[in-house]
Amino acid sequence: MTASETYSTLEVTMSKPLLTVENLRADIRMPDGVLSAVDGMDLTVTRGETVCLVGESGSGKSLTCDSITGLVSSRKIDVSGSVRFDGEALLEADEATLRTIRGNRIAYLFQNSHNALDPVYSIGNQIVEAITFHDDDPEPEPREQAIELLETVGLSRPGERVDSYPHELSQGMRQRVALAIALAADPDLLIADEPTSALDVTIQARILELLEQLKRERDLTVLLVTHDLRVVARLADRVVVMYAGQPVERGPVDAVFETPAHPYTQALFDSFTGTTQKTHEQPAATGCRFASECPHAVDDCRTERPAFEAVGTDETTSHQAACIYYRDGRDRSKVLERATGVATAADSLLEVSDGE
Amino acid sequence: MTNADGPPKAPPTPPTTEEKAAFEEIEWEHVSPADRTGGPERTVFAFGLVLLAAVYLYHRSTGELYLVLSWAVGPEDWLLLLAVVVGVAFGLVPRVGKRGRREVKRVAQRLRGRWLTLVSLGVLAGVLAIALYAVLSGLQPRLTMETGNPGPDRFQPPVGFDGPYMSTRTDCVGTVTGEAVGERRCHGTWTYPLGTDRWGYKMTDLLIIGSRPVLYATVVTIGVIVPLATLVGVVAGYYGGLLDDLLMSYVDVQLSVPAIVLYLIAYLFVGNSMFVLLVAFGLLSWGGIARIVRSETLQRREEGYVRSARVIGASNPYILRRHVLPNITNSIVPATFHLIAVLVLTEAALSFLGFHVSFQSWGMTIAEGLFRDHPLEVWWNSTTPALVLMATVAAFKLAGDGLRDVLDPRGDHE
Repeated sequence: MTASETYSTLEVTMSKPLLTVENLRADIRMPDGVLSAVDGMDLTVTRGETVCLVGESGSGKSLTCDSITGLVSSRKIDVSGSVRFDGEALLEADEATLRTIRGNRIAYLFQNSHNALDPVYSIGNQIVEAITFHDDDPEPEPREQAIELLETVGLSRPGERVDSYPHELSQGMRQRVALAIALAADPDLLIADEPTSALDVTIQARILELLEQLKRERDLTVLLVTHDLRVVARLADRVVVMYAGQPVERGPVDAVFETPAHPYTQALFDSFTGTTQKTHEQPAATGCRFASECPHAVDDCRTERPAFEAVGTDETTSHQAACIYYRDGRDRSKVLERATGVATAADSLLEVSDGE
Repeated sequence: MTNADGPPKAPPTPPTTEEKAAFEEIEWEHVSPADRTGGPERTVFAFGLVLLAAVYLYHRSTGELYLVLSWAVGPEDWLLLLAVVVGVAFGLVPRVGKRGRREVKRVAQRLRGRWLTLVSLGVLAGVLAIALYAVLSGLQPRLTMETGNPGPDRFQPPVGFDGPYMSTRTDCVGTVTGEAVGERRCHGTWTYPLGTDRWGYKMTDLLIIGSRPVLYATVVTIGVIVPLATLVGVVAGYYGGLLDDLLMSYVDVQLSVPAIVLYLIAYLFVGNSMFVLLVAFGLLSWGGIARIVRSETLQRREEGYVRSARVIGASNPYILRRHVLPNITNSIVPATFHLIAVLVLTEAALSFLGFHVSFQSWGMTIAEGLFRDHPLEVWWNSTTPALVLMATVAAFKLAGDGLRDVLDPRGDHE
């Protein structure tokens, strides 16, 4: 991959972010207190790039996306912070504005392909629904557009399939149709929440291929949520690693894969290569949430929450980790020394999976 | 992708598409803005309500007994008409369009080969048609005097059976067999195919008139009770929060009111009334359906397609109508049929015990046939209405179960 090129073009367009998330919090009110499921999320997505949100299950990835689009349906969850989409403050927007933005500018691809489609209607009907919500007077005919979209997402014989019902399609096909629905409104931003995790491996590969292709051809801006590092390696321009609701490391994909700087990222890569087994404890309420599991944890980790610090010595890079070892004057070598080993192991595995 | 195979392969594809579009009638129609806000259903509903109010006022002002034909309208009939308005607006109107017709066609296709469901539906259609005839014609049981015997012809046995001559004596229309007076049998004739009862009423008349409660129970359940339950259940399940708490606590309270006590108290003051029965049992019994609908809605709310619909900018009422309701229909339908069956049985049981509704019913006929000396000697007085009642209730249950499978959007069952 020509990541350095991608990276430099990114720097040029960096000035105009499409989506800016600042200090986003989602607090779940529980009987015994408040759980900060998303705690101080910062995120920027620039036009044309693909940002991956990586983290284990329950780290708050999906909730982050739901909060961004105002899809949090539970009344027990308080969302606060700032989300700006192309200048519009989404969290403060009323329902009508949100609906317009969702229908026209932000599309969402959900994890489960098996219930992403309404069993009562033909798939064509559902694509047309999305088209007509986006455009009251569609041109050309919505049916033609639907067939075209099905062709775009690589469904064979779209002219016939357009009248099929979801239960007549395979899992992979349904996910393609879900993607067609997401693309129907010609969105500026596509949020894809683990688009491949419910699919079997061969279909995963094809859907990823399709996403790559669409990214190229349609110049899509994608916010991709995943826990699969192979997906990250293939699609992402930049990565944000989340742990227990907090972002712990961020940067260009190559930099993060070359030098996984935060101890959690290292652990994540480790688990991907299958070298470690960890037991889970409740993350600490104050300080670094990874402290209880971190091999490098010191007392300070448990008392104060680390801010993002540049990983490299070059201050201009955007590769940052939220770990006190990267603070000025600290010896980061102890943490970094592990990064190389982890990265090499992960690399070799990624190459294998890329080849399939 | 297919283009890579070169030009020879490309031409066949477009004609197939067009052929498909030309030959198959598909529910092709874009979701018009009107469709999003309610559309023709609401217009028809509003129009129907106004019409109903006008007819009511007109009828009151003229002081006529009959509304049309020989239909003597009482309070339960206005409830019936209200149910018809709701049924037409939200049941029939959506089926008129292209998409609706295709839906109906799809259901009809799935019904093919399910003979049990078809037979049940046939039985129900028959019973309801007969009941409608009884309502509109204002049919009353007639005393059987035609045969020229002095007085009504009492206790005539059905065709092909015989009964004790002691009960009919000289009234016996058919042939009489047997020697000793105590052993003489009176044989049934085609004059009274199902025989007559103790007063000399034709059993056929009694059975036809006795079907009227079924019509009221069916129409009012489908047109008033279930829509109400569905509305409450869907709103509670979808919006959740305080609204859910309030509606469901109301349902709890309502479910704890014993309908039978309410009916009996009302009976003391109002007397015979189908209206009171429908109100007491019907309007107090929708809590169960509301709960079913609520729990189904809770599940559907989290389905991907509902979330997807929200993402593409659909409003909540639109999502409820287009995505949630069609997907829970297959749970509502059997519950509805079950409720109708229960109402029919309740009415029969109350009539049987002597708490009659406004008119003759099967339960009443059964009681008439049973509460006398030697009820088994004139078994047809109680057995025929019991069989008809049983067949009707069984048909409701079987049809409900069959339709659930047919309407299940997730399975083809083929």
